[in-house]
Amino acid sequence: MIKFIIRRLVQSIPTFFGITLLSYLLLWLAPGSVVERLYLAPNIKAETRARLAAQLGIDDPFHIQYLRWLAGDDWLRWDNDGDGIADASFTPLAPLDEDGDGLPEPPGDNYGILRGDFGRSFVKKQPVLEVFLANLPATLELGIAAILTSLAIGIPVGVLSAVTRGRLFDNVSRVMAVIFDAVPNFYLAYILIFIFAVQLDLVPIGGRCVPNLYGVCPPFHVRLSYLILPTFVFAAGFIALFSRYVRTSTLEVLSQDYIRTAHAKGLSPQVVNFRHAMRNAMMPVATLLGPIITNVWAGAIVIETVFAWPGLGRIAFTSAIQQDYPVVMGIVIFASLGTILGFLLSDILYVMIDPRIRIH
Amino acid sequence: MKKLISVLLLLAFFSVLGAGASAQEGGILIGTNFGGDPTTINPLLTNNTVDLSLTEFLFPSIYNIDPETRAPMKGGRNDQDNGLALDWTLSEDGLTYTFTLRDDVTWNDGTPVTAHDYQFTFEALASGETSSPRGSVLQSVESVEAIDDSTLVVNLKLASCRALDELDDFGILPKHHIEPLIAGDFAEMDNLEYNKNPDVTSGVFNFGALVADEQTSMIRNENHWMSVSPEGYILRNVPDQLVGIEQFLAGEVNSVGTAGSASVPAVRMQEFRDRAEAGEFQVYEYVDDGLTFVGFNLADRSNPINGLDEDGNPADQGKHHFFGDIRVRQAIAQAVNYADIIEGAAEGEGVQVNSFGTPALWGYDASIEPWQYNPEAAVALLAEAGFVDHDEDPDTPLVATEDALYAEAGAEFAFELLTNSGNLVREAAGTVIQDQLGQIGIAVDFQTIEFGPLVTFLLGQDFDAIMIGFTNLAQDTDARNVFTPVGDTVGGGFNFVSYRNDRVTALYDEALSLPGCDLSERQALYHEISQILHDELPWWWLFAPFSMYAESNAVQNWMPYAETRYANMANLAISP
Repeated sequence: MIKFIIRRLVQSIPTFFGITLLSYLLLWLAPGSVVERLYLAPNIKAETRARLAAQLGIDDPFHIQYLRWLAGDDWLRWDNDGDGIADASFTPLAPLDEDGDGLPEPPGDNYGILRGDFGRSFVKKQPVLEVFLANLPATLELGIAAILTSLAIGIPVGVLSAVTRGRLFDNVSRVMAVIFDAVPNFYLAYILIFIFAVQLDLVPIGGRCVPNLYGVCPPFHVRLSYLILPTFVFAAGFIALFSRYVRTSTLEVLSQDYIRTAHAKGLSPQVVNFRHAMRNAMMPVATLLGPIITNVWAGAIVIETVFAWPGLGRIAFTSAIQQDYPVVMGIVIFASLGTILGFLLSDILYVMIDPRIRIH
Repeated sequence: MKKLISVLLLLAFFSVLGAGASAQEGGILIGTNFGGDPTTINPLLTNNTVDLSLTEFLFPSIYNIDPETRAPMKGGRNDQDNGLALDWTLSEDGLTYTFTLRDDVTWNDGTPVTAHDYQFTFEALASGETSSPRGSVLQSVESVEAIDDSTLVVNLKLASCRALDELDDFGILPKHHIEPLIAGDFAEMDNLEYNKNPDVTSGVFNFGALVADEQTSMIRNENHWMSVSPEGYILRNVPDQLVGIEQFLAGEVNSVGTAGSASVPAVRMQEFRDRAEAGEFQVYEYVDDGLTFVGFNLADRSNPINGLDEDGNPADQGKHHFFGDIRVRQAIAQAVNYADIIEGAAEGEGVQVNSFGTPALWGYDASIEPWQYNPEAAVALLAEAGFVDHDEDPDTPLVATEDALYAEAGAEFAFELLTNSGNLVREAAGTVIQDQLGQIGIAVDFQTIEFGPLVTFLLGQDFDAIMIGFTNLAQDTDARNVFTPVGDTVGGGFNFVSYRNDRVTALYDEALSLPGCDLSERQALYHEISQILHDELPWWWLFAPFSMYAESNAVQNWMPYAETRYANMANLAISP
């Protein structure tokens, strides 16, 4: 198993670099820039915007920008005598006096992603890692709540639907599954906000909590009400997915000989259905977990924006709109790693659920 | 046992539901902010309404703006400005301002706020090493010198009537606190922890806390000379405007928008007006200081070049095949029914403008008659300009004849109109324009594109016509960067339509360097400019939107002004 995991991780390395290169290229090709988005006003001169672009390094060619993000720029220009002025450089890529004003450019101070430096957000003007760490707990909280909720509802509904095939529960659950799957989550979100928050005033309209003047949120159990709507909207699609897959596989399992044997032995239907059939019907769930972890990242973008949930999805959306490359690239890395690990988890769960599967 | 557990679970569930509806504690003003977290709370580096909504309550400025007239004010008070100047004089040669500042203002650590603080802040800006976008002041200001703690002398490079306006373009930093942190290197200014957590401030509030993507808070400064009543001011970060408005209607927040932005969308204004009349909450309406227009590219878009060559002489930029001819622009200005745009697209929440600016600006000349809908006159002008209906088929575009000044004979009158996607008012207005110009034989290829590409086309001067809006236009009406060749630089300049009129350039220069800077004399010059711009239509003037503040009834003694929501923060009382 360990060898398998290591081999899969090593195989992921080129994929990972390919993703970063492609993502950076797409961002670079996008018209406009963060400077134009933030500083486009008649009273801000073009020279000022050009200076700001140079300070951020976004006026450099693509290969320099990507290299700086990947491997830093402290090796492109460096300061030997500690006076804060660059006195040597890797000339083929970064001449000492690049703008030809007779003065050396400042020394590089980025270490690059390969050395753990995610860079600084152009917009928030703080290290990208700080931005992530501030928002990661909210996304994890919502994502985990959504996955657990979808498993807790989707699996039993799928099993019960199979057991009651053709009857009212089965028909209703199948219709609901189609609805949950088909309705866009932002639309479902607005409908639920309108009903449960605006009309009935049962839950808050948005946010994760109400911090006090000093920025302190109440404990988790007090702010649980903020989690209800976004969790449900997030989980709705997953519930539909799980229930449909589990229903199909349960129907398959229920027709197996050993289930008939279990019934013949006089075991109660609950024991047969939930202890014997359900475990064997779990394979699709394991298959789906990987893609669902990926979908958590994607879904978070919409859900967190609509519900004003302060997570990474919202950061991803605003950063992409503002062309805040370092933050977008940081999110690409997190999402890529999440996807790779999600699929790895699926494979491992296969083995745990079905001992017949062996890894070679 | 099972029943007991079920009952307990139900009780727990409903107690959780109930927690969502808890009320805020009294005395705290809660606003909504649709613009994301503040990028910085350093008043020298700020450049958006969210940042400014915080810094204007946290930092002093050089003088107050009169909230009613929007003019600089000697002394007085404006709780959103916190201005220091009690008086100022301008030397006879128009090159030196001398300010007398209050001597009773302190930072919240007890250190006096002095002229040295302003000098330090200006020097940081002038160093060019910070990421401050507020460089326009450097065009006219040579140096700033603190003579003593309460006397500040500003030396100008040239007599500029805009200098006073520009001097108030940034808040003042605490020198005694920042100087040691940056150790003489202004480039370090961008990296200060202070920018996210300004612990030393001198406003009516102290900084509270920034909770990422959740809220930013300020806490009453008990020791400030203008002590305010609210215990604190929270800006709740809500990315979706629709959700923010529902939060307001549900009573979760006190206001829609920040101190610096109104934020009630046009489509909801009538509903808000009606509900305010019914006593549900309070609203305040005003004409925004921004306008929506269509910029005509007057130059040859296939070869964009700067308006001035390297020696500063006018360059030959060619002419746009349609819009290079003023008669075509004037025809288009008469071919569209403005009522359809304002009523249909902007929900009636706007007013037609006649030239650059809006009725909210002092340089605006309201006496100029705006262009009126007159399709017959438009067709006649187009015929005079050499564009005729060659086949008497209303569905085909006009074609150019030999009489057309810049279009090739036989060319169909078809052009591309761009605007940014997501702006529903502009999208609707573009459709109206497309339809009504189509009725007189002008084929408009109307496209909505994402803002980034739009800006690239705009600043690259690679477009036929672009519909866009400017908001927060500077209080001073000077627009040399927009309508003279100085701003006609490909890739960055704001004279992206390549307009040039030597009389307009001369009038702008004269208005800016007028001895004594008498407002009424300058106003007369700007009015002449406005008339020329109205007639020549480098931009097609459409409308200025109405803006609306909405405030809950919990906010008592509220006295808003245009662009200043809380000038009387001191007197506000927030009921629980």
